[in-house]
Amino acid sequence: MISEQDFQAATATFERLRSSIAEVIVGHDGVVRFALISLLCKGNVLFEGVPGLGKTLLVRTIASALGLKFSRIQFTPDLMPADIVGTDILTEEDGHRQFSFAAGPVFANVVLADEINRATPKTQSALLEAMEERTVTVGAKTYTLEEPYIVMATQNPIEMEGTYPLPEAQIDRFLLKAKVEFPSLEALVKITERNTEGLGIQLPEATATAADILTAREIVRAIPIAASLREYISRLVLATHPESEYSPAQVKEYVEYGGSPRAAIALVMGAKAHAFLAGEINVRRDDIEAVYRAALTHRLVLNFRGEAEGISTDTLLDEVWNKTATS
Amino acid sequence: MRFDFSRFLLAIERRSRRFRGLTFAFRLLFYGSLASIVAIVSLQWLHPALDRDVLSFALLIPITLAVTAFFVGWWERPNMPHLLLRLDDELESGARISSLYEERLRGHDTFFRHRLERLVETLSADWKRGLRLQRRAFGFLSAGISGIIVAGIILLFPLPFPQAVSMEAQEQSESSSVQMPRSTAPDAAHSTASDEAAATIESRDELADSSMNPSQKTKSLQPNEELSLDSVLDDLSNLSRGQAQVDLPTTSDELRDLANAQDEARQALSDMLQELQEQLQGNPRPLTQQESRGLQDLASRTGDPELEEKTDDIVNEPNADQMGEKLQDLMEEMDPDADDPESSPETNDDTGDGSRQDSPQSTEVTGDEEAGQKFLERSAERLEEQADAESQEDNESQQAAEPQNEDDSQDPNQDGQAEMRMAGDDDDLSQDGGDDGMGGPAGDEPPPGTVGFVREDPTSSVGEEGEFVDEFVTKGVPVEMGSSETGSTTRFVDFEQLNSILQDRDLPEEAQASIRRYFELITQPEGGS
Repeated sequence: MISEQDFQAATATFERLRSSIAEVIVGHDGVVRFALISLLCKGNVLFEGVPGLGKTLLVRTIASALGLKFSRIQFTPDLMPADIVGTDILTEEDGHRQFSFAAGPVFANVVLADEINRATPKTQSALLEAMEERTVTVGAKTYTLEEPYIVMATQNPIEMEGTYPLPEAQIDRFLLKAKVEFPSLEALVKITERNTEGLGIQLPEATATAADILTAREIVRAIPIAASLREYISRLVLATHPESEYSPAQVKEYVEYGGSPRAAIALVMGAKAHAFLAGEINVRRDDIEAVYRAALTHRLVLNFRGEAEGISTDTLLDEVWNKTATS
Repeated sequence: MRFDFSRFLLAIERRSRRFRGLTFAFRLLFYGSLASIVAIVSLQWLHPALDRDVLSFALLIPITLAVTAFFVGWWERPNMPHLLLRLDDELESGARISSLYEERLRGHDTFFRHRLERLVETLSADWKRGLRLQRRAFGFLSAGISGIIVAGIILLFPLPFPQAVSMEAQEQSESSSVQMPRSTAPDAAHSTASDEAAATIESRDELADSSMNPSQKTKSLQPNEELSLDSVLDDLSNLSRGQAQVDLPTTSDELRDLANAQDEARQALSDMLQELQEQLQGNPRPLTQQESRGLQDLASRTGDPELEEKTDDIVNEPNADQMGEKLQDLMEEMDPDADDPESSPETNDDTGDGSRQDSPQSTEVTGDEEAGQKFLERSAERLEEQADAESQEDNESQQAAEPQNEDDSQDPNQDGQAEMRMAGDDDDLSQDGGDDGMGGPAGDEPPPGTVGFVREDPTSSVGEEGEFVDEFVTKGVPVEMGSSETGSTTRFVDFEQLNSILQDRDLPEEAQASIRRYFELITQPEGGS
């Protein structure tokens, strides 16, 4: 039974967590919020941005602030799946040779899949099971990953050379996709100041435990949401499908596939987590709006015409949002 | 006191249902008012005789629809999740009412529910501002009320429709141009009171229609239009003022129709006078406006100015007793043998319409027929002779062969001979008693070989007072002035001088004889000037 004290304590913990991250990461409050939302929703998050914007530092900072086991995988074209999940190796102990499992970097609480789209799709897909089922199967044996578990991936924009687009099945497993924008002038001044003076960047001390996170997850799931808002979210997701009666004309014209049911779940859970981080006790329309783009932008697959005309998924999502009535 | 969310929900639901019903009601009030306007206007147009009380039932359309719509809207239960979310949006409460409703619905007993209840309790004091009638509903309400007012105004002051005749009436009027509806006036004669007078007036519309030529009827009668008493009376008054453009009849059939129409009008007037007299004998009173108009209209259709004038005197007479006397005088004047039971219309019913030959007007008509027949015979003789003598002068002979051609007679300078002959025609008619305006045959169909005549004012006259004017005589004709035995001035042709003129022109003997005979004819007393 969740008490009001539990709720207050959990929200206070995450407020501290956000503050400590903000001491290191400058100008990316929205991105940090999405990372925390994903953590609260038992999801994964994908950061997209050009190199040098501090994506890797952001993930490392979050992991450090959470006090969780952190691992980093640098995806390259020659990276193999076994390099991620681990493999059975032949070992000799006391004169006996035997196969023992050498766990890969995926066995951690916070996994940073850096530049995930530089690896081949085969290697990318090695993360699928870990991301969704929180398990890793090697050979005939399945290993369960330790909770809390979150994959935070970064990727360069698809247009960049030497990148492989993520398969739809994998990209759908990311709860949210956050675009890391170039920092503003004030943020850039602060970044240069922090990186060039004194001791440089210092990762924060842990301000939360795994138990805090798991408790917060329970609270988030218990946050009430009105049935009419659930229906509204469902209509929003359906409106991204070109064959749906709710979809606007632009979606029908430029979209090949719309959001999956995972998108609706992501919206509901994301809205709940957003309300939790805001200290609210119920989901509001503002909460839905806050996570709407991040939950759907990577799930829309444009058709050939949309790709050829350079249609932005954000434009289509704005159209869907504006055309979908509340009730 | 603990906040009762269930009662709060119930209040929201009631208010929502009430407003939903009102919204529906106002909307249908508006559309219903439009429908009532259309219904009233349509009924006034299609059925002008419909009573106003009947038409006023159209005003019940919007009210009935509004009441029905209210109950339909009230009856339907609202979708509570949507309603509560709308209320949350209006109150900007962050979906707290909706969330609390969901929590209670699921039976969750969490701290979220208790905290939400505390928050919603603060909202409940001012929740009604979030659930109001939409402005559009007020717009429909005001428009609906305006529509009802307009419908009421139209009901009280009917729109002035142009002369409207239904298809049925049009067909009747078309058929009446061929065969007159003689039964209408007698039917009206047997009816009683002022309502019957109105019916009589309605029946006289057909007379007006029949007096118009077919082309004009086609212009004035529209399909799907029906007779309106007011419009017909207006048109009749226009006719009496000479505003209506009625083509003069030119053929014998049209003459006969016109004569029949005037005959019918005279008979209808007589009947109406008789009705009125019977009514006024026991209860003297001034005439109603409808009766006055009906009398004037009928009088105007008889084509008798004297009758019209006397009718106007009756209508304008303020004293009821004197009006009754005038009415009696006019009846006696129209029908001096009215007291004679043998000459009354009722005693001659077995003879049909032809029975009117017994009446004085029928006698006059007979005199007209004889005069006309006589004139035609004389004209035929002259034309035959003239045609034999002047075979080369075709145009002249054609003009002479068409003594009733108005175009020729209206231009005195065009042909002096024809003009003189037409003047003679008028004299013949007037001498033979054609001054009552009822020169047509009284029977259903005139006998073969006879022509019905109608009294018409001369289209032209010789001189200002009808005297002979020298300018109308062909230049060179030796007309001499002389005195008759009675002392009046006469004119004659000096045939000696005429002979010398003709001989100077080297005309053949036959032509000279024809010319001489022509001048003899036009200067003789019965056919000359």
